[in-house]
Formats: sequence, structure tokens, C-alpha cells
Amino acid sequence: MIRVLIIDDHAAVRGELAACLAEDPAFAIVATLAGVDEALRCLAMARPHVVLVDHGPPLLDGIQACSTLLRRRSNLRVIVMTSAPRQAVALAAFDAGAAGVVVKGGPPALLRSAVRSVAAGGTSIDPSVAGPLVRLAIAAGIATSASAVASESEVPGVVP
Amino acid sequence: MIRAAVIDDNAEVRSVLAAALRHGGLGDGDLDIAQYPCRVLHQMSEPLARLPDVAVVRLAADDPECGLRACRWLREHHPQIRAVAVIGRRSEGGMVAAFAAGARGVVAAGGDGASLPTAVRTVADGGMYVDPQMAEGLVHLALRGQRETGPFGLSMQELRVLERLPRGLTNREIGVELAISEHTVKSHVRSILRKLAASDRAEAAAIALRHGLT
Repeated sequence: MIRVLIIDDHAAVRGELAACLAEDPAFAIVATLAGVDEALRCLAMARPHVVLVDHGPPLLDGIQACSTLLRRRSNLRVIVMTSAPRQAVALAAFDAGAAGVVVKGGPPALLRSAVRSVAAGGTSIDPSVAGPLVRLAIAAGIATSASAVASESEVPGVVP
Repeated sequence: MIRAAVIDDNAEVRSVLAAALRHGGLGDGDLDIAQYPCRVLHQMSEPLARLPDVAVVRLAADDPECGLRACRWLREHHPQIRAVAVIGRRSEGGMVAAFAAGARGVVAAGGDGASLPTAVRTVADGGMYVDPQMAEGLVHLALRGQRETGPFGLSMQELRVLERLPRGLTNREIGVELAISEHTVKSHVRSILRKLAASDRAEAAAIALRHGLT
């Protein structure tokens, strides 16, 4: 069971997110809250594995909230949700320690799969912001030679 | 309906990958799978009778260059076909190489089997897919790429734009070369002019030439 806490300053959005996650019986919604202060107060009782937090400044700064939550509990997996598919927002969120970035309004299955991935220790990059991040990573110019691929790869024949 | 092609030299690997696609929530009616060997793909002028939407290309551990060549060949000859590369687990170099070769998605081998169909659906829908098992490495690289700055405090991407200015390229042409939008190039040029204190592109180009930044 993956325990999920939702932070969004709009009650309607909180309801939609909770309903979307409730489709999957593997999720337990432990709290839906309007702000990070309430979240900090109930962390100990709610014991979430994953926190979904909206980034909608100036009312709710999800990136700041992500840092604050992780300072309190470093093992939390935080997903920052944004309505703007922008590189700067995604990078700032990851820099603040987020385990995932989800752009709002995408397919519901994508949100559920992001929560499952980060709960399992993975990092989830929304398909609509992955492009700019990939280009930056390529620009960072790391080991693009085929030999690097060979030395790091597993034995042949191991496929999904 | 997504038309997928599975590309690898080993027929057994091809059928394992095809099975992973079939069992991953893409129903029979949603998927049409063809299989091709990797080594002949780039030698053929018209190998794909019915062009697929997505090509699943495995980068074999013993010969990754074959799969990378297939990705590059697809990008050059059939840019409408989106490639998903399947690579060794935790291979950061392989992931970057695959994206640099034009792959639109990268999946780690040995995962739970759900990643591949998700990747195929995502790239078919126009998105880019980074396997959650490897995305942390990509994020670190991207953050480094964003932080690293060169002469005049220019970012790496701004340097790439600047080095193209002396050739007299338009924003659109630079955008095509760097695979970014014309709008993004325009904002990079504005930032370059500010950082170089140049009044126009020609002056920025002259400064770039003078400082060997081309």
C-alpha cells in the first residue's frame, strides 16, 4: 500500500487528484490539504510515502514546499505538480529534491504511474518537460561514446 | 492503433521485446508489431514496407553502435518514426548516447516490464520518455548542464547558439541545428547580446570570432 498525501490550494483539484489515484487500489490517500503548514503538522500521524504538491505561486510555492518537507523528512518522495510545462520549473523542482515532476492536465494514468515509480525509488519526468532536460543532459557532454555503453551494459539477452 | 517495429539482430530478443509490448496493456487491437534485424536496417533504402509509428531498438551490450546507428538512420531517413532505445540498466552513458542519436525514449532492460509499453505509448503521443530507473542520472546531468557556464557567463546552450552566429544563420536555421524552437533561439540571442554587451548579431559574431568561440 502506497500512502499518498495531496497538497493543493484548490479544494476541487484536491478532490480530482484523490479520485484519480483512488482508481488504483494500491494507493491510500492519507490526507488532502491546502498548504504546506498543515502538511508539516500532520506528517507524523499521516505517515505518507509520497507527497503530491502543487506549484502555483504566489499562493502555493510547491518548490519551496518540497524543500521544507524534505528538511523535515528526508525519506519522503515528493512529486511537484505544475500547470506550466517549463524547463525552469522542472529543474528547480528536481534541484529542491523532488522525485518527480508532473504537468497537470495530462492523462490520469500518467499521474498514477508517476506515483508508483517514485514510491519504488525511481525518478519521474513528465513527457512534456523531458525534451529540454534531455537536451541539457546531452549538452553536459557526458560519455556519448559507444564504448561507454558497452562497459556499462548488462550481459546480452537481458531485456524487459 | 500503434504500429511498432522491434529492431534487434537476435530473433529471440525480438520476440521477447514484442511479447513485453503485447503484455503491457497495449491490447491486440492497439498494436501491430513488425520485427527487423538491426544490422541490415541502415543498409536498406526502403526496409519498412509499412512504416511504423515507433521503432523499439535494443542497444546490445556487445555491439551498442549497431543500435545507435539504427536510431541515427531512422532520424535521418524516417524522422516521423520515433525510436525507443532499450539499454542496459543504469547505463547513464548509454542513455545519453541514445538520446543524442535521436531516440525519443529510453527504457532500462530488466525492469518490471511495464516501462516499455508506457514508453511506446508516450512517444507515439509526441512525448519523450525517460525510464524512472535512470531518470535520476539524467536530472543530475541536466542540472549540471544548466549550471555550467563558459566565457562571458554564457550557458552551454548560449555558446552553441553563439558559435553559429558568424555563419550568418537565421534563428530558424539555428533552431533546426540545435533541435530547439525558433522562439528559444531568439531568447538565447537576446541573452547573448546582453552578456557580450553587443548591439546586434554581427557585433556578437565578431566578438565570438575574436575570442575563438566558434
